[in-house]
Amino acid sequence: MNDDSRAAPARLPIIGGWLIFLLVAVLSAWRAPFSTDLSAFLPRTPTAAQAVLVDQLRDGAVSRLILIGIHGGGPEALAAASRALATALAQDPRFTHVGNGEQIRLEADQRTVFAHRYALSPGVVAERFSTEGLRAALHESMDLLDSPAGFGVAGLVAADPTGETLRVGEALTPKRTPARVEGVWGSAAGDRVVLLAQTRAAGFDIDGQAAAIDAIRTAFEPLRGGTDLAVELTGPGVFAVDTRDTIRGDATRFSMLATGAIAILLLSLLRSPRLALLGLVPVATGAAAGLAAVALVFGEVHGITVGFGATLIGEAVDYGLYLLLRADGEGGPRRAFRMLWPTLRLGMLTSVFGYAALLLSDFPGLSQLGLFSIAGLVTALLTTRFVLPALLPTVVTLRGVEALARHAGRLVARARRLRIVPWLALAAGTGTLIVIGLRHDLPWNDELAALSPIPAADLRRDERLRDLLGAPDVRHVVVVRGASREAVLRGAESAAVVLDAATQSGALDHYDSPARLLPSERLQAERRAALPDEPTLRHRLAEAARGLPFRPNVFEPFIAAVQSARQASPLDTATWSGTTLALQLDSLLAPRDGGWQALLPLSGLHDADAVAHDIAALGDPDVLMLDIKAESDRLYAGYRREALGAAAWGVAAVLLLLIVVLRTPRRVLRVCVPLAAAVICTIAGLLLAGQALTLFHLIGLLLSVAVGSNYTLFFDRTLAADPAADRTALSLLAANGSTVLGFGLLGLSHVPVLSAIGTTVAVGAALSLLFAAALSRAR
Amino acid sequence: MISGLERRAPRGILFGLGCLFTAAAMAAPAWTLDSLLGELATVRTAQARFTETRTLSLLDRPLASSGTLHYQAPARLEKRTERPKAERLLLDGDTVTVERGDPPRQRSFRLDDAPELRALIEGLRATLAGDRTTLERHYRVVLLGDRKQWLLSLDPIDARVRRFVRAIRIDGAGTAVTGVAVDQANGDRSVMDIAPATR
Repeated sequence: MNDDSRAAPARLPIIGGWLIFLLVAVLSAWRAPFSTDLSAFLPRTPTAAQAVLVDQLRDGAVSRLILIGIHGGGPEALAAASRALATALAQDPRFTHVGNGEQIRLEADQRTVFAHRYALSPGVVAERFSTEGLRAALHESMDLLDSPAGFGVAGLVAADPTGETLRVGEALTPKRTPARVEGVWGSAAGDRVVLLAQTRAAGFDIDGQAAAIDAIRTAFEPLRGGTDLAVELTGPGVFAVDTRDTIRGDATRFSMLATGAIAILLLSLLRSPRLALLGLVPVATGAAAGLAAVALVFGEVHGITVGFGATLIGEAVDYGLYLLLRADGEGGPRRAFRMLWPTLRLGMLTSVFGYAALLLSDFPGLSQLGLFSIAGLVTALLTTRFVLPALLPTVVTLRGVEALARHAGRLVARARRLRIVPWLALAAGTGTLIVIGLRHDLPWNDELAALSPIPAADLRRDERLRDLLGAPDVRHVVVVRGASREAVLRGAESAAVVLDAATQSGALDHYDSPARLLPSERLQAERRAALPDEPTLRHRLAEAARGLPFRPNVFEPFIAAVQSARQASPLDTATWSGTTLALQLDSLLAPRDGGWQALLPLSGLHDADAVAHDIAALGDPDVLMLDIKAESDRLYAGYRREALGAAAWGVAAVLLLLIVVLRTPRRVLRVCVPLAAAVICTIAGLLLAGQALTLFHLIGLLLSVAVGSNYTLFFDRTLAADPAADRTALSLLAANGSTVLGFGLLGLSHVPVLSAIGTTVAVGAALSLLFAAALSRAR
Repeated sequence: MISGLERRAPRGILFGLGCLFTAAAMAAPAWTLDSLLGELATVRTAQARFTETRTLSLLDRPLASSGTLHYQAPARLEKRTERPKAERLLLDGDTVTVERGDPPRQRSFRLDDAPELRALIEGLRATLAGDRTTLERHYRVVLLGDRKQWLLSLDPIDARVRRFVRAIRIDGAGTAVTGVAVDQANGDRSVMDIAPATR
């Protein structure tokens, strides 16, 4: 004992060093940006489709849309609120565009289409302006004038007898236009109006999105003024903010609950608030170090990493328990630790080996997780080894622990009678898995949506508002990339040939293209060249009009317009400024990574395979069709597969380590069988309970193996030759209790990520302990 | 005419006649816009033949067409043109469907997307449905004549609509509409004569 106190290093430098370390770690973790965007799901070397996908989700125009619904009033009140809100938001710099369907906001669109009809219309080809072409056009005009549908277009005929304005207008108009309430977008029943706002902040800028949402609510507040009007917001940004808030809220709430429960457990075992608090020191230090390591290496901490961070509690809290529950023995904490050290070190090493495979993953999200766990565990163990004894009093007294320890010892002895159970479980679990595996293709749920914590009610609301706007969630999009704007516009034009054919054949209802608003300069030049000069046009027009009842000189506006179109400079994005179509152009055509990118969203795609085939047949590697849902699911599946592969490598590394350290096959088997049985039974249980496995269950399994390996190692090594074996049994039970408590609570969360991890770890850890105890050696 | 009447009838007779008319008007229940619209509202379905003459400033001769009209209260109105070309125009609620061409092609749009057309159509439809509120939201309404022969004059209130439609005149007898004339702001004019369908 004296020996130990002499050998002990001075406390103050240790505690001081630890405090400084903790401070630095907390500071660097604190200052790191917290990200929740999907780029962590993106492999380091993404395919073109993956890059476009993530780019769209992060920063695409669609990711910046907020749909605003107002209800709870008569049609007049709703329309007035829509107008006032649109006016208020249009002046807010946080929004690049606000639309509510008011005609006045669309007039600029129509004016611009009319003014540039000869540059925009696909009908502008030389034949159309030949005598025959013009004659056909005039006959069509007569037809139109003759028809009730022509009511109101008479004025247009004089300036545009070839009908280019209508042709452009028709191409730009989706098949379904929203209903209106008193002149603004709304429901046909008139009980709801809808607005569309585009934020300046990118979709991944969740703080920016939150600020925009606040701005809308603030602007709406004075409009409500004592009425029953209510506003509802939806859209990708709104979901992102809600998701972050939900995950943060749930993670915080359940972490606090778990921490509280574990603290109570510690308190009731140790019967000293000070000791209980000290028990949490290794976990806290480990978590801070893990976050700091991720922040330093990756420059940011991903939300998923933080989510998993809670999982560290599982293993690290055990370290403190193992030490504290023996700290009252002869020689004090230091000596107690020296007894435990080899087993704990091996346990920690197996975990580190398990996580190391994650560290090498191609996905930054997974490597963040690996780094976090490794740094956290090493730090937690070192803290337990060096810092905790310095913080503890030299002589620790535990009251009532001895009785509990004897209980624990008896429990373990009783468990030993169940030797057959782990083997039975292993067999039953494996059998179940085989049966399930034969019946179904894959127990994995590879839909990204399965992880979505967005409540179904919110999704329905989103669907309802989108439906009112006739703006379905875009799933298929043709993406054109290129070195210059001109190049991508030309690419969009060649894709349009395929898409036009698909529209004709009924395979596709509608598509949008930036080249409709901004034709390539080559095409614009071709169209200019197709327009005849004034004398030629006059002559041909006179010929064409022969025999038709048009008054002379009726077409002067047409002749003047054609002449000015021949001289006009090419269109530019600026042509559309001040129109609602500027928003469309901006969302469909943008510079990306030093080049340009055009998007052609498809709506009402009835034959995706045929269209994809024809797009591929273009043979242009810069033009590709993207199925956003399938692509994101595939991306996630790749992530999951990679995690599975990493876990397999991790298991192999752990096995190798155990074989090297434990040497005899018998011991390796004794350590590994409980773990294998626990993992297999947990999986079988989850599947039988109707859960589809996700990435997060896999992470949970990994963690329960990490925790469980400590149990089996203790049972194998320490317990057999330990004079204080009962104490070790107690600390294992307590450690397991804290794990099951903490993760079991997490399992109650409504966030799929948290509940998947919570359930898996709680069940896995409990089974590991039971099976390990059953197979443990008798003294 | 008045001077001729004066010549043939002494002033006293004229005055007497005036009193008689006034008395008759006071004795009978007053026939007002509400009475007309009330009666029109009782008509649930109606069919009629029409001939339409449109005079357009672009053309040196008028365009004539004819066909049938079908009305179903309160919001369905169909115009089937038979000559010179088969064509179908259907207003149902807020949706306008046009079917024309050979082979026939259908195209639908919402009235909201064509506010000028909306005013015009609401004028007709609100008259047929007897919906005074809607009618007076879009038009200044003047009623002339009596139950047997009436003329409803609709002047658009909204300046944006006035840029397009100057006036609509609907005339009728009892619950039957016998004519619709639309004067456009650019001088174009459409006159439709309507006769109950002979079936």
